[in-house]
Amino acid sequence: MANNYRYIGKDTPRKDARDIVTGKAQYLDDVHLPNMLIGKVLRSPLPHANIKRIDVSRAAALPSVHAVLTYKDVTDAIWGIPNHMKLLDKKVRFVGDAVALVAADTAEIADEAVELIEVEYEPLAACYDVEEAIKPGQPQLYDQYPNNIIPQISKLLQNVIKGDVDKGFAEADEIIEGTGFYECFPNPLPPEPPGVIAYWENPDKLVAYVATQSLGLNKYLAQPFFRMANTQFIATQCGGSYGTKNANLTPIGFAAELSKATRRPVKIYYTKEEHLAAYSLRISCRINARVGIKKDGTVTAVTGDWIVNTGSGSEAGPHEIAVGCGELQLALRCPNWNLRSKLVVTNRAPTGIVRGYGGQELESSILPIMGMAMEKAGVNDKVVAVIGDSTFLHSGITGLVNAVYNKGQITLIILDNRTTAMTGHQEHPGTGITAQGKETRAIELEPLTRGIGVNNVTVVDAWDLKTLKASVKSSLDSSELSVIIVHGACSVHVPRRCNPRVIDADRCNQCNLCLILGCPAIQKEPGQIYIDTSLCVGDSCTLCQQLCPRQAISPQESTYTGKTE
Amino acid sequence: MPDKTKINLEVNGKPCELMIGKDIISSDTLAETLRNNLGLLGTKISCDRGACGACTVILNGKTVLSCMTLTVECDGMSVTTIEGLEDPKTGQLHPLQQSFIDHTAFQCGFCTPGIIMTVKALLNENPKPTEDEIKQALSGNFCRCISHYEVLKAVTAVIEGGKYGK
Repeated sequence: MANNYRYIGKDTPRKDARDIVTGKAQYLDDVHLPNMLIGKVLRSPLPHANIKRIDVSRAAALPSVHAVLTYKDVTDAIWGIPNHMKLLDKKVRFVGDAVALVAADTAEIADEAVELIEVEYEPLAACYDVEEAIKPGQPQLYDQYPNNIIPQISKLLQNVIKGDVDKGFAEADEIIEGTGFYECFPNPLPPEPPGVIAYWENPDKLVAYVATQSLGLNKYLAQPFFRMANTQFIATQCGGSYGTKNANLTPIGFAAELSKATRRPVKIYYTKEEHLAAYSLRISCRINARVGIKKDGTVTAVTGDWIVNTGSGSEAGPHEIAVGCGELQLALRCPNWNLRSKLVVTNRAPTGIVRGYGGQELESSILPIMGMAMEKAGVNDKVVAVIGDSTFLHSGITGLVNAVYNKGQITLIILDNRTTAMTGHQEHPGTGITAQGKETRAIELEPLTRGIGVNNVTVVDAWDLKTLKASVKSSLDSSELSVIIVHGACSVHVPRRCNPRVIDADRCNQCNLCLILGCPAIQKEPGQIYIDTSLCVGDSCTLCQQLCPRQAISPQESTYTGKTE
Repeated sequence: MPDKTKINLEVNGKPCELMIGKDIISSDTLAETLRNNLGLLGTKISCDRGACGACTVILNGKTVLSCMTLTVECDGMSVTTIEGLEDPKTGQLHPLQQSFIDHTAFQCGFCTPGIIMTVKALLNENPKPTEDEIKQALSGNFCRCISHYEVLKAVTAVIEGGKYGK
């Protein structure tokens, strides 16, 4: 079949490319509307305090200052999931929490006005640790959340409860309890800070320019905030988001309120300090878990508490928990679960939407506990370790030396694609090229592994499924330490050749075996599995064809020659 | 004493005069002046602390971080920004700009003007830099979406000439 598509399989230039390279692309701070004011935020120096008195008179009296707003002046709508955060509150809950807003002709005057706002705080004790925060007698962040626990949303996957954990533990050979952590709050920190320009075209229509990749989501989240006013949101060029600009609600709210008060467009553009200290972070968490395991490594039961620290507010905590609970069940197969989550507020900076949330936090927390369980159970199945060639040469070799030294019986599979795909295809000691691009001696993995004392070394072609299977099987059956070096180009570097594979629907009985490959070209729809020929690399791979027990997969004659690198 | 009430700059080949106290204040950075006074918004401010390289411009032939350079220090100097690379008459892109497009050497593009200016200054001084020298020159330009590899390809293509010519 000829490629008659207009776009599929062809390079399409970025529409904004010329604007980007000439500096004409308009990011948020490049947009300037007539009569526009600059908004600035007074931020709390204290982690937890009530605002006893706030006097804005000196700030408001400053020439060229057009509005100074406190919690008394702005909407009392609440946002977050579940709704709990006010735009400005009588209380501050983290160092950097918003206390007051200023709109002025210039950023300098707005900054000066911010300095002139007098605030008298009643400092409150603060809590930062997620397990301390839920104990009785701790400082309470929100009246509606006793013990700082945000109630669960029943429609979401907030706990993993299935099977019979008592039965599971009874079947276990060993039971281990432990605590795992993911305690840092990473900040994705795109180069462009968050920013919004807002104005009210009429009392019932809010127009906002937002630096975001998710305009619809911004609009949908902001709507209730503005009493269901009509909203027209315009996306500017977005200088990176890494998930964090999915919501943008605080800057949208600040700009909208200042604009309402001044009847002029107002720009809020966070400084890098605000971006670092007072904008959406990734959640942190801790897990106290109990794991039942058999001597053969089968996990029979998992129970525990996953305690998620969402800082002073939750933009999407329940959703992050739902993703974590789902992902963990993929990563850790077990029939019996009683894993319960808690979403906890503390006086750390608030968390929000970030790229790929929920899963990695939970999985990284529980992994050390699983390691301890396997150690205690003395899982004597052959341990199979998989490592890339670059990482093997960088740091994996010491582990192999120790395995030889300690008479370990592992099977090590080295995926030798002669590049460092993980971090962006850098050279490494096995490629024969230095980091500076000069030719050098390539370290060969087979003599290297033999040299440190591995007797059982096999080298196989990654695309030869039959031989690969046989090698893995014979290694697992063997009682000695073995290394399998699997050669094959990184899938990104596989030259695209013609003849993509197609599935003969008449032969396919939808056994799903080919889906296990995880090949992005193989797609499943109700009643049909098919191969997206524009993604298939054809003759270079053929793994699905080798795998199919019904010979339903075969090459498709094609005139498409694609791009070869 | 020289006249310290005004600053004369040549920006992208055009002379410009800025009155201290009127157009600019002495604490204004070159980045602020370019963006706020001269409307040259292609120069980006990201960290505003001299760490990220997004604000890089060419001052008297050398790259500077315009967020760390005071405008009052630039009297009598010549500044080139990203807006100064196109051919002013024909609007034709500089070969570097074209190569960045052809290699899609950016994702969000916020750091791109700074990167292009750094490379421009490098090629002015050293028309045939090695890959090592390109990397060295770009070591102060952060890109959060890891487009560095495409940047290297784009720059290498320009050095090697071909369709990007000289």
